[in-house]
Amino acid sequence: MQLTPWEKRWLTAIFEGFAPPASAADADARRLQPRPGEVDWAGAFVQLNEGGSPIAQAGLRAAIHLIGTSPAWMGAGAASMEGLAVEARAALLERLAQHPLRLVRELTWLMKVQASMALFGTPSVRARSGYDRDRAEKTPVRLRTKRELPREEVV
Amino acid sequence: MLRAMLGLTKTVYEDSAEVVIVGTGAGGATAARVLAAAGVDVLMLEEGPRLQTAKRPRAAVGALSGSLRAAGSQTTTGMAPIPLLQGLCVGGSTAMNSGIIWRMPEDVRQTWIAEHGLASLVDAEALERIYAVIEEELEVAETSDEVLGGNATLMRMASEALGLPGKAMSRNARRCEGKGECLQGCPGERRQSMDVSYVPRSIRDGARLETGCRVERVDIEGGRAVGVSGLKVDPVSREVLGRFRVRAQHVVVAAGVVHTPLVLQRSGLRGMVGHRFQAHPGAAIVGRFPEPVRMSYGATQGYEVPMRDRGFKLESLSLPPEMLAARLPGAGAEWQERIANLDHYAQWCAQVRMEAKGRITAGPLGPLAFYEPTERDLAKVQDALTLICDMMFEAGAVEVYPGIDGVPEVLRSRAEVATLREKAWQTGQVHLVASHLFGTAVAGADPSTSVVDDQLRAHGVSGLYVMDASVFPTNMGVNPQHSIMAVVWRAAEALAARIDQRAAA
Ligand SMILES: Cc1cc2nc3c(=O)[nH]c(=O)nc-3n(C[C@H](O)[C@H](O)[C@H](O)COP(=O)(O)OP(=O)(O)OC[C@H]3O[C@@H](n4cnc5c(N)ncnc54)[C@H](O)[C@@H]3O)c2cc1C
Repeated sequence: MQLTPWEKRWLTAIFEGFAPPASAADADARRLQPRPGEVDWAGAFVQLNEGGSPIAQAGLRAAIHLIGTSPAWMGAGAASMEGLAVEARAALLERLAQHPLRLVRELTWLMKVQASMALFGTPSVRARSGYDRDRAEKTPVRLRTKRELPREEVV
Repeated sequence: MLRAMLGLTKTVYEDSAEVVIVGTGAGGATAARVLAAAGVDVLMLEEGPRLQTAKRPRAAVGALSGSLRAAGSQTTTGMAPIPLLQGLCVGGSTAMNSGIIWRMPEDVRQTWIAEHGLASLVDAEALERIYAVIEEELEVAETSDEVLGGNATLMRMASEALGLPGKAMSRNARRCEGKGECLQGCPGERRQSMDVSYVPRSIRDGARLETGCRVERVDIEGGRAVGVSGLKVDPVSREVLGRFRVRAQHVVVAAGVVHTPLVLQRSGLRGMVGHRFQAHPGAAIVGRFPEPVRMSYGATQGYEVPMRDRGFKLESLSLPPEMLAARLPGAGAEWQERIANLDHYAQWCAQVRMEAKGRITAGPLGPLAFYEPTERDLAKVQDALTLICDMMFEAGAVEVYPGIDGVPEVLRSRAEVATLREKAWQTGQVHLVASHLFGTAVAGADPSTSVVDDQLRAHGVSGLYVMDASVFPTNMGVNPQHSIMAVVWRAAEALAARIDQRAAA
């Protein structure tokens, strides 16, 4: 699935609306905020969808166009997502997720799924998430079975 | 372009075998297992690649695009498309399934006998013997407490508190290490999916495997199947390399519920081909807990609550982080706040035994799957998902995210769950997904209502068999792979016996 340069820019603007990058100054303030340029949003999107059915690819392209131009038709004061500050994009995406038209809500959700895939598909972000830690650290004590607990902890 | 056009005419692969098997999923690999062990000359043709476990990507992005049909984007038609998940690789859908094992329920077996004339196919004594062999060979065991993990353990707590009939799942993964990566392919090859069990075993017994063979049709001459032909493709890039043709005395089609009917239709079979498409569509609910749940550790699916009398089954379902995060509400700072605490979520899903029946047919851009859940089916979905919400609060959730269009994104108490029951849900409100598919080349005694007989031989074409989930005349309300393997095993034994008798004669 090929994207035009402006489709890539819209896609990046939408995805950064879901997961705004940290500014260089507060790069570690939130663990999972990507650093500027850390996530190749468009590259991950293309990789994920290159084997997709023609109908699915058409739907995704429609989503980029519809959500990308949503500031214009939602009266958000810009012609496209690129023209909005990142916080305004997040607020608009929240509104789109509650839009009266189901098609709009569905396409917004589709973009969020893609953004999530791209974000956690980036090895450095995934590593920071701590999701893949060692087995020993994985099961919290309250949920551990009695057999697993050291003797003195078993009640 | 020119290369692709040349590819459509140039024959790049020709072969022959006593039995050619199309597809290497639960059905195809089991047929190969039985026939190869009986000394039959078997050739398995698989459209997708043979994935090396060690090299399969761990992130869902690469794992899904590399192993699922249409990268997971194959759906039903209509305004509320339901993704139909199927594997496109050696092992078929078993290469990414959770290994859950259920024998065919007795009421289903009785229906098949009484309404479809399949007494011999589902003979109780024969199935009992076959189940036992499969369970031994595929290392079936109940999920142990050690690898249950937080997600399934919470579900057990909820089930016990509410007096529900929950239990630890039986899976074909006795040596499971609880890595929670069934979807990406078990990293330690502990789960006995077909790609690590019956396919290599058949090869050891003399069968051959050719990947990158997209079978288009069964070649039929004078009412007898004489082989198959299709396109040779690069199994990874899917680029067309040329045509192929395989001659065989017996053809077994096991391309799965969506693609088997297309192969049969292209071969000139009509009647019930493509009809009676059925499924167990499902959906999932996520809950946030005050203490860490750590979904990343434990069997991908470890605990279940079968509610057959209400038409559904609840299951714990752990997800890779990218798929879990997509289920959490919010955008921007709110979403980031939630995904920074990924350890605190549990997810449980419902598989619903729907009464809806659909149809699969070829469309200009791929298969068309016409399928619409009925009102009664949606009522079952509503019943199942609201029960999950109740269970989550019972287990101590502080927030529950139903993910249902038109209802609050976040529930904070059990009293709020009651609001989900107030109005009947409509099509499209729930994001359904189906991975248990049935029908489209159903077995039965009557050729006017079925495609194959009780030995899975095609009505009206000799030497042609269908051996996968498409022969199921009904869905079952439980996970299907064990029943598929058992039914195919029985038919493959009959085929091996016929081949043996012919050789002796
Ligand atoms: C994500 C997921 C989780 C699941 N979890 C469970 C579970 O825990 N327990 C359970 O019982 N069931 C589970 N299932 C369902 C189960 O895996 C399937 O029901 C079963 O594998 C179906 O067997 P099959 O032989 O009919 O088709 P498949 O296993 O899908 O195999 C069909 C094969 O045919 C190949 N093929 C298709 N078309 C062609 C062609 N034209 N030419 C050549 N080859 C072709 C495909 O690539 C594939 O390898 C799950 C399914 C999925 C997708």
